[in-house]
This record gives sequence, structure tokens and C-alpha cells, in this order.
Amino acid sequence: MNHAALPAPGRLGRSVARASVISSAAALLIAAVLLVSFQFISQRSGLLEDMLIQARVIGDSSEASLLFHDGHAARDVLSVLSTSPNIDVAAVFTISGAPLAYWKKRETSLADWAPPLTSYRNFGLRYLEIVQPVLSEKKVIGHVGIRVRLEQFYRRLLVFIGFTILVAIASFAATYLLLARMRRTVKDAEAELNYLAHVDSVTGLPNRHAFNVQLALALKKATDTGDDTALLMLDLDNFKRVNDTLGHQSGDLLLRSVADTLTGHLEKSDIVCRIGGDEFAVILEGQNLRERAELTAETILEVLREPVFLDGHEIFVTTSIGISFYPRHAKNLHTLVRNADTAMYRAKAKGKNVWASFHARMDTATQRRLALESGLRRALERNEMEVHYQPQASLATGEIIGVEALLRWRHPEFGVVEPAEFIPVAEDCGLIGSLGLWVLRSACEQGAAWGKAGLGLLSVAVNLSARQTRDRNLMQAVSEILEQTGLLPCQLELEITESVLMDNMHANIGVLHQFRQRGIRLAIDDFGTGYSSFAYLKRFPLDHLKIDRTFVKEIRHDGEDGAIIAAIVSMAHELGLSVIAEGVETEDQVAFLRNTGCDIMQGYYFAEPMPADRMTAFITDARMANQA
Amino acid sequence: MKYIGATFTIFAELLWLGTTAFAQPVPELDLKAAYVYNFAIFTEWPPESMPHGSPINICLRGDNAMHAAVTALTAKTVKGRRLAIKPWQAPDDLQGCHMVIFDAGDRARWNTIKGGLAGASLLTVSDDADAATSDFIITMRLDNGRLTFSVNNTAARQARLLVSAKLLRLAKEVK
Repeated sequence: MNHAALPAPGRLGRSVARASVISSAAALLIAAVLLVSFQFISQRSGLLEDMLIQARVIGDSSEASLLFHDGHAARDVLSVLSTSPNIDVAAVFTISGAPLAYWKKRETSLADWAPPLTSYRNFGLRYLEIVQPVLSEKKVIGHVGIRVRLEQFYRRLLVFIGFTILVAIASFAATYLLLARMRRTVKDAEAELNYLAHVDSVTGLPNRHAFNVQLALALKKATDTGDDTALLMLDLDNFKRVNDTLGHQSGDLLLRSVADTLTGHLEKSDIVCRIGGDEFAVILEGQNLRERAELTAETILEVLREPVFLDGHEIFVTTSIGISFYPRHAKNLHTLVRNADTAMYRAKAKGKNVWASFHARMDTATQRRLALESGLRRALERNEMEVHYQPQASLATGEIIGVEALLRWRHPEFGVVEPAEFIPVAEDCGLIGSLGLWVLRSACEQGAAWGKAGLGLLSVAVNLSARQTRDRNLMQAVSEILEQTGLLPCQLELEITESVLMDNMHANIGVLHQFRQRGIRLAIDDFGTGYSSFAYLKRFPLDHLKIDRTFVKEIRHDGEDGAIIAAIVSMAHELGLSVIAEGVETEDQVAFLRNTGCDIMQGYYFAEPMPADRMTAFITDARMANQA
Repeated sequence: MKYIGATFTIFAELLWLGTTAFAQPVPELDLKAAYVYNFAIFTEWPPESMPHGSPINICLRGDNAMHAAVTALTAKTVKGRRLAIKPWQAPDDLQGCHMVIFDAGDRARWNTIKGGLAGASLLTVSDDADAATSDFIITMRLDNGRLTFSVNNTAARQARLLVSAKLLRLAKEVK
């Protein structure tokens, strides 16, 4: 179904073969014409030369006959010519032009021939005529004339032409057979190239190139008929993890399985393409596509929900789908693809394994994202970035034991932009590395400054992004910053979110152990939002566990979350981890957390995030109050 | 001396008569002289008898009927050699001759001198058709109004003369 619109293979091969056949035929024709012409010219001059010699011989022999005016003798000389089949008439003429002797073939009439009596040669259509003077004592004493019938000459030429044509036809046949074989080879190669150019070798689906061709065709058809086109963009949510943990071969098998599932469950007329690593696209054509597109998306989500078995592993594939319609959402191919992409990212952001249909607001969001991306590149130079600090206090004593460094971006146009919004952008465009190190350096400098100012050895918590944890030079960069700023390693606390930690467990365990050996403390952030179990937690060298703010927020209304927190706290303690509660806003929450044995709190109830100078003042005040 | 008549006609244009383009009767003696000239053309003398540049000496007696016609040949050349006419009386006069022309009047003289000419490179030509002997190398005779000739090639070879095959082919008789 998907190959219908691929260009027909063999087009090039056919035209090349046709050109070769024509040119070889032309070459043979030219060769044949040249050969025949050459043969004609050489035979003609050969005949002429032979006859001139004959005439000279006869002239020489006729000298005495002419001198003695002996017609018998002259006829005797001429009679020699009867052995020559071509000679038609031969004559010896006296100086006055009267024939002294005349010899002719029996069938030729005598009166036929009266050539001019001079040195004469005429290659006519039927006859070759030659007249030569006879000399004696350097004087002309008469003439010898010969007329040659050209029938035999032409007959020989015809035979030669026939033979040449036969040879040419035979050569052409041989050439044609060779060319036919070559054409087959070229056609096969062309078909293969065509296949490779348009088909993804892993899944057998049309590739990105073919997708563009197909989509352009569909849009043209839709424009002509007034139909709609729907574009569904699919992105497998956790394909990268499969590739990383099970290897590329398994990844390819998974892609093939997904492709088979898709083609197996969709309409024959729907066009499924693989357009990127883990990206697929489905093109739908027809009228009133909205319902059909949504139904298709639902179907895809449903059929992909079935686990795939690879190398004894049970893999759950989920996908995020973005839908965009032509001409409703876009007037051209480029925009249609971009909008479907936007919708797909929105679906992913909504929590994966869902579909989203494009709407105009998304476009605004996309534009904002683009603006953020370009703004981010200059944010550091323009001093738009600022590190704020939120204090963390012991629930038991109320004493400030540390701060969490939080990045703030004051965008010149959008105002304050939340990290939750711009960190993913920074990750996508590769700026997270430099941004992360800048935050780390700033926070470490600040922590060291407080130590020097006699405000105690506060712990400084800094968040690590997913991209940063994959950076092999991270450990070295952190060590350098610690050495340069003078912050003690035990003061530094690196926070990694639960989902990042679980995404690449093997690698992360190694990195975490390195930090641990360096004396740096580690916290698992946003705990409770991912899928991690305590069993996994045990394998990581962690010091702290930060309960996600959503659990804390619900404490007042819902006893269940309270129970979860209590469970988390007791388990964490069992594992030797201290527990930090984030987003603490009310006294009730504080009371509850204290009761469950939670160790540290952080939130507006105690203090909001603030700039370094205000933080310094806050700590100083708190110290004074505590001492008082 | 013998005349077949002034009306002896041959419709031919002989080279030595020039490029006459119409038929005309040719006097018998002129025709014989023309033949004599042609004989010279087709005969090769041994080199020692004919030094380079020397003329071809034609000897005939003044009372020979052909004398006037043959004398007219001196205007012509054969293979670049002039033709010279030498009269003779005694056999000794034949010294230095290449060609001797006899007629019927020389019959008795011939019988006396021919013995002394053995070995000499002399082309002997006669128009004495009635001669009992045919010791002449070339003998011309009138035959049904046509002038023919016969060649005694044996005699020619004895005289170390080379008579061209072209001439032999035209001869009525070759011995």
C-alpha cells in the first residue's frame, strides 16, 4: 500500500538502453555506408585502371596494324579481349576516325558506339568508356576504344552490399542481446537504488524522503479535490532506553514490530512512514477526517499497548501522537509537519502515551519556545540569569542547615521564566551544560562566602539535569569548582530527580559512586512521581530523599497522602536516608511532617527563594534569633 | 620497274602522308616507301653496326623505281635517328648501309653480291615478287590490289637483325 506513489523504477535504464540501441544501429549504418562507399570507389578505380592498362596494351599491339593499315591484324589483337567478360565493344580507329577494326560481344549492336576520338574516359551508368590515342614515333596514329559493361561491377557491389547488410544485422543482433542483458542489470540496480532511496531498511516502510513525496502528493490531491489531509506524528516514548539497555539490534526489532503493528491495524489507504529514529508518521486522506484521525490515534495507542517480547524481555512501548490537519491547521507541507510535531511534543508533555490535536495556542507556545531558545543563548552574557536560594531547616530544631540553589531567569520580554519551562529548552538546545556549571559555580562560591563570613557550614543543594548526568566530564568539572571556590565537598549536595536517575540506572550508579567517594552528598529529587521502588533506591549511594511537593500539598485534605509520606519517611530511615519535604506552606503540614519524623523542611512556610544578599541577611537574622 | 596503275587505291591514311582526314588514292610507289619506313621502325640493328646518333642509311640505286619516293623519307626519323639515302654501284658501296632496297632490275646484281653480304647486318628489302629466290629478308608484293609483305626471319637472324613480332604478325608469310 505504501509503495503506490514511488516513482516507477527502470526509467533511466530504459532510456539509456533505447539510446544505446539507436546509437549502435546508427554506428552500424554509418559503418556499412562507409564500407560500401569505400568498396564502390576502390572497385571503380580498380576497374578503370585495369581497363586503361588493357587499352594501352591493345594500343601498343595495334601500332603495326595501324601503320600498315591492316584490319585483320587489328581484329586479331582485339579478339584477345573476348576472354574478358566485361568488355562489350573494342575498336581501333584510324587517325581520321574510321574504324580499322571492330570487335563486339555478339549481343551488342555495332552502330551503338561512336566515342569521341581523344583521350577520353567516361564512367557512365551502364558503361565505362575509354579511348586512348595510339602513338608511333611520338605521333598519334589512331585511337583505341574500349567499352565495358558495368553489370558485373554492379553485381559485385550488390553482393558486397548484401554481405555488409548481413554482417551489420548480425552485429546489431549481438549488440541488441548484449544491451538487453545490460538493460536488465541496470534495471535491477535501479530498482534496488529506488528501493533504498525510498524505503527504510529497518522497517520496510517509506522513509523520510518518501514521506515528503507522499505528503506533497496527498496535499496536492486534497487541494484539487477539496478533501482534507490529516498528519499523525508518532514518537516512541521510551525507545532510547530500549536501545541503550538491550542494544541496537533489539531496538531495530522493536521498530520493526511497531511498524508491523501499525500497518496491520490501520486502513490499507493510510500511509505509514518511518521518518526518524523513533518517529513514525501516518497520512490520512479523505473528508471529515477529524473523527477518523482521533480514532486512528486511539487505535494506535491501543494496539501499541500490547507488550513486545524481545530477547526474553517484555517491553512496553508507548507513544505520543500529534495530529494536524490540512488545510485547517496549515496551508503548506512544512507548516503541517511542524504543527503535527508541536502537537506531538505537547502530547509528550501531557504525560506520554496520549495523543494531542494541534490548535493555535500550541503555535504560540512553539513560538515562545523558539524565543526562549534564542534568548537562552545570550541570557548569561546579559546577566539575565540569577541564582536564588531557598533555606532548608531542621524540623526538629528549626535551625537553618542548608540552602537549595534555584535558577531564575528574568527574560526581558516574558519577565520571570520558570526553570520548569526553560530547563527542557536548555537541555534540547545543548545549553544545559554551561548553564548548569554556572549555577554550580555560583552556588559553591556563595556557600564558601557564607562560611568565610562565619555563618556556618551550610549545605548547598544544586540540581543536576538529565543531560548533565550523562556528561562524562561532570565529575572533573565539579572537582575543579570545589577546589577553586573552596567549598567543602561535604557541603555540596547534588539533587537528581527520580525519573532521571531511573532512566539510565547503570551509568548513574557509577557517577553517583564517584561523587560519593569525593565526599559529595546526593539527594533524590521529586521522589514519588516516578516508578522507582525502594529496592532500586537501595542500590544508589544516596544521602537524602526529597518528597515531591504534590504529596505535601495534599496533606491537609487527604489522609492517604499523609500515609504515603509516613511510609516513605519510615522506609527512607530504614535505608539510612534523611528525608526533606518540599513545598511546605502551612503550619498543619509542618506539624504533620514533624510527627512522621521527617527531617528537613523547605517551603514558603519557612522562607521563599531569595537572592544571595537577602539570603545572607536572612541567615544572619536567624542565627541571631536562635542565639537570643 | 612496274606500275600497277595510277588508279591503285587504298582507302587509308598512312602516317607518313600526314594527318589527311579523308580517303584518297595513294600511288603504289609512295605506299612502298611508306612500308620501307615502317620496316625501319620495327627492326633493331645490332648496336655495333649502328653507333649512337648515327643515321639509318638506306641504300638503293638511282635507277630504282622507288628512289624518288624513298628519298622523300629523309625528312623523317626513326627512334631519333635520321634516315639517309645512299646510292650504290659496286658491292663495296654497301659498306655502312643498314637497309638495301632492290627491285626487279637488281635481280642479276643480287645473285652476284649476296654471297659477299653474309654476316653483314643489312636489312634487305625487295619488291621483286617474281624473284625465284626469296633470299631477301623482306619481300613486298601486290596481292589482289593490296600491298603485302613476307619476312625471312631466318635470314634476318643470320644478319643479327631483330624483326619485331608486331611486324611478323602482319607479314603474309614468315620463313
